[in-house]
Amino acid sequence: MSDRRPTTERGRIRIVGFDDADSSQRDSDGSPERTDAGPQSPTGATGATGAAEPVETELEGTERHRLADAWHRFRRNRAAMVGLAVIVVMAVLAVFARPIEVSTAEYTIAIQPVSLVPHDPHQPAVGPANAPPSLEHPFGTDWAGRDQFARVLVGGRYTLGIGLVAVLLALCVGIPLGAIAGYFGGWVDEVVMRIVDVLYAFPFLVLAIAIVPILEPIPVLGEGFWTVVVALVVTGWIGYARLLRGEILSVREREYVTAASALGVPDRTIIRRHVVPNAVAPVVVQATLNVGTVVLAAAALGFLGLGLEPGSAEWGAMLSRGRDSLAQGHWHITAFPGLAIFLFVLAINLVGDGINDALDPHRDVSDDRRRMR
Amino acid sequence: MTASDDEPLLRATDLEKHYTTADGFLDRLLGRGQTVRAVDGVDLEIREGETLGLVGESGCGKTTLGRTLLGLLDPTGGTVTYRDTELTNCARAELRELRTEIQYVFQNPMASLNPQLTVGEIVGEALSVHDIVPPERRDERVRDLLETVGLRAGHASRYPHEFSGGQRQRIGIARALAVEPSLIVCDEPVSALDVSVQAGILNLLSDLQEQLGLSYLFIAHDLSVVEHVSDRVAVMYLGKLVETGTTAEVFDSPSHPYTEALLSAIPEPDPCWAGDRIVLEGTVPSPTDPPSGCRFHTRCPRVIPPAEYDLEEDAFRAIMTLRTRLADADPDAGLEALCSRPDRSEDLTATLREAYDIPRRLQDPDAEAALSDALESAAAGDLDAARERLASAFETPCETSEPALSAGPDHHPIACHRFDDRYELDDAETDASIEHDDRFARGSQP
Repeated sequence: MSDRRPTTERGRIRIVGFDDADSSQRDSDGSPERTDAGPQSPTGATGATGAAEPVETELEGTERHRLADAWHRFRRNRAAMVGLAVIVVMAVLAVFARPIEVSTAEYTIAIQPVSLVPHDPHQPAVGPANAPPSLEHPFGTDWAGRDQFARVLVGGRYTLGIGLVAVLLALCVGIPLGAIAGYFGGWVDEVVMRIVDVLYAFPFLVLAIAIVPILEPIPVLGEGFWTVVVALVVTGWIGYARLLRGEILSVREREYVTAASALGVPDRTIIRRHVVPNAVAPVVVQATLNVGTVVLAAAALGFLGLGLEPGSAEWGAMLSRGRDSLAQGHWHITAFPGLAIFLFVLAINLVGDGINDALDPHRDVSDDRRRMR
Repeated sequence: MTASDDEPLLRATDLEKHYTTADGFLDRLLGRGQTVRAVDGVDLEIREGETLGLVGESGCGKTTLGRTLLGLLDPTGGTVTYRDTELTNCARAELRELRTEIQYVFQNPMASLNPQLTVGEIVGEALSVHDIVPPERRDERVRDLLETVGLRAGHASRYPHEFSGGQRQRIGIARALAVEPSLIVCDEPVSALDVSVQAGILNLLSDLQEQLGLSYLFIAHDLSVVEHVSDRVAVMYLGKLVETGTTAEVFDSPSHPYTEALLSAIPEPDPCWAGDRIVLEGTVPSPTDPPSGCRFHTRCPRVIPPAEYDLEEDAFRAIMTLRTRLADADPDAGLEALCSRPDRSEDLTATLREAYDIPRRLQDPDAEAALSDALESAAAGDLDAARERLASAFETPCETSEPALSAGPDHHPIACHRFDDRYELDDAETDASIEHDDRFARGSQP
């Protein structure tokens, strides 16, 4: 019946029906509501008004969707939650340990009137010198008879404050510089990365130690807290800049970045909207983990007598002062501030790992740490 | 469809894009880098409302050409003109304005959408950058666009990872449409998609063309897709166009040997179909060092024999293959470079002839003398002498002079010497050879 002889003519069998409406049934990618039949108006005004309201609420709902997802994953991570709890407790204790007051010429206004501990951390001879822990002084007293409990709690204000502020400021320097270096490349990249290399050539703590005396005469920085912060920012931003630049080198080759520049999106918007958000996750993780390092560095500076004024209730400075007492057999003077540092650094590391897992469940945190070294 | 003789929408003249493999200061200083001629002198016109299909095998420079046309890559030479504006020496700000006229749809819909943004933000970005729609109407416009490309308005608040490949490609198209362009460069828009989804995207593109009067540059390596969507077709090989013409002209009367080979590779569903595939010899030459003359001559099944000999096409092709092999061979490799098992016991020249399908005796006595001379030196292990002998004896016009894209019938330029008047003698012979060679079953009427 049919012609079974071999032929060299093409096109005897034709596949038709692509243009029919029923082919859209098999078009598994189209949504069921797709209207293939009939031309749609280019503006497609139909149905837009009716759908407007539910869309609005849906939009609201999924804006939080990703962060909520990450928070959900974070909450399931028990170690991270314990770390977070420790940090929160420490922060609350530090804030509410003693009243915070702002003094002007005439008035003294108490911003935070709650006082959890009865003694002023700076007031000497509230008890006998070097007294061991008791009900009256749960952490004992130091060489001047000051209450250790109050000093450890209030010391959290310095330590936590330095840790958070120094890391945030370092991020504010490191992220823009790293992003610009990575995205534009060329001589901008060379200049920024050579500065980073020069700073990296010094050991972290040695550089901080060298910077503090340079900064100390500057009057604006005032009482030591900001000196320490600036020293830690100068040494801290290089890590974030280098990490972010590396990530951006790969992100900027992605097609959505090309697509954005094909749309005519300005470079700064491309960096802000497309490049940095897709590259910043490891930097955020690194920053969280670095809070611990920065606190340790601040404590080390305090221990060396740099930065904060002597006698201030900073954990590192307390350890430093306690050395002599330790030789005399008064263990409690160094044990409690040391324990506080240990707890805080441990907690911040647990949180950092938790954030890492929550932001990107597939990324290996040890990988990030290796990259930093 | 509207092949008017008006000014073309987009015109590229002698466009070149070269990359250098030099990496870093030291390479540049020592001049170690090689130049990759990804696009090497392309002339192209796209008229209003038409679809120009650009085909060619992988690595021939299709994507580079597409991106250079958009100004995403800076051309090394040549010009691109959109209407009356020359893109190649535009200021950045001007170029940014022109982005609203020419848009790009990417090959891989999985990679071309920012995973951090919602679909609404992705599509709406163009609206805010170019201030096309006032801010209060942008949401509405985004929903309209999504419906235009066959998605639901409610999809605006979702993230790209929640969609399938075909849906993502629709989002990519919606993003391109947002700026209301008149030309869209589609870089293999369906090759990453499932076959059933391909048809949907192709139909969407042609619907949009009808509604909005768009022009497309449709880059693809799938010829059946190109045949389906294109008004005109340009065939590209190794950074150069070898043929342009209307789809009917190119598909029904294939003319350039490379196009013939490409067309023969289209799968045919007819079980009784007995047409032969033209299998090209060897691999694509490196674009760092493209062959002289016609770039296809190293693989061309219909390379033109030297005028002084009376040679059969097949025999000359076989000799050309041997020549190419000799040229590529490492001079120290010896005979192993030419055939896999040089058998000492037999007549080596005969073995070589067999390995390359060269007839035992060529028709033309002069050619035969030259060939056996060269084969003897090859058998003796002197590959250099053999190479030189062959090169001087069998020099084809295809390697000495570069074919221009203006040869051939009007509106259907073909860059092949077979369609050049200067080689008319060979044309007559071509017709004769076609009649006894049923590989070129469609027949060619040059």
